[in-house]
Amino acid sequence: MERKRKTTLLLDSLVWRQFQEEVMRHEGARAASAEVEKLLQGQDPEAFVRALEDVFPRPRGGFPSLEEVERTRPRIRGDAASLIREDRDEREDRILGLQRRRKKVPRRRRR
Amino acid sequence: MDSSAVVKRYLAEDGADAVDALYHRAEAGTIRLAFSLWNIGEVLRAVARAQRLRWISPEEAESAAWTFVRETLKIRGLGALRTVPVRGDLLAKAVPLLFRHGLSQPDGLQITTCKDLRADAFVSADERLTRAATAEGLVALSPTADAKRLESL
Repeated sequence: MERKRKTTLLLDSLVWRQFQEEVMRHEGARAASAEVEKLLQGQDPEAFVRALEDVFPRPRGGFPSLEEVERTRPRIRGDAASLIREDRDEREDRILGLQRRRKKVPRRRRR
Repeated sequence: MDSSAVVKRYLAEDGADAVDALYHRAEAGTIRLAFSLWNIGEVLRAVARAQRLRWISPEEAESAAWTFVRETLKIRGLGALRTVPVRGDLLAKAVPLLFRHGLSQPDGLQITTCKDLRADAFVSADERLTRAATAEGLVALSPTADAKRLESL
């Protein structure tokens, strides 16, 4: 398959001009295609697979079935949704320079 | 779907059954799911924190992380899940929500992403976020408190 493909897009002229100007300011006159390509690549969640491979080896086999997901997932003692809430609040506190009192989260005893 | 709902599918807890039912219906093609690309990192971060807190073992964390990413790619490939890029216009539209409801930027992004998709419902296990989403005119449903209504979507 050819690596590069010339294509045509129908875009709002003001949006395109502003994009070109921004690219020109930072990347030069011939970088518009490369920047559009980066934006399109940025939509692909496949990048998370590559990122996760840096931490854990990629498992063999195909995609998990619905039942496999439900059978193999761990049941947790804590509240996973609260981890997300704490994360968002902590992030906000860091930005605002505040120190919120951290809720004590129980650790599971090692067996 | 907010990350607080998605995470229930990979770290089982109360409300997981209602989220499972959504995934089953999505794979059967009767509904379509969507969440922000931002949520992938948030769910993985929750898995990592659950491991650090020793709620799950390192092996369970590795398995949960891969299962989440692989299932996300699978149902996206089937056309049953849309992963919405984190766009500047969605972040900008979230700014009024930060002032109106005291939300964080990621909270606001969940609501603006849902509005942008014109989704039938916004699913979140976070009470503060569902309250704000309702005030913003969304049909906000919790996998624990609104399981029956989720079934009727």
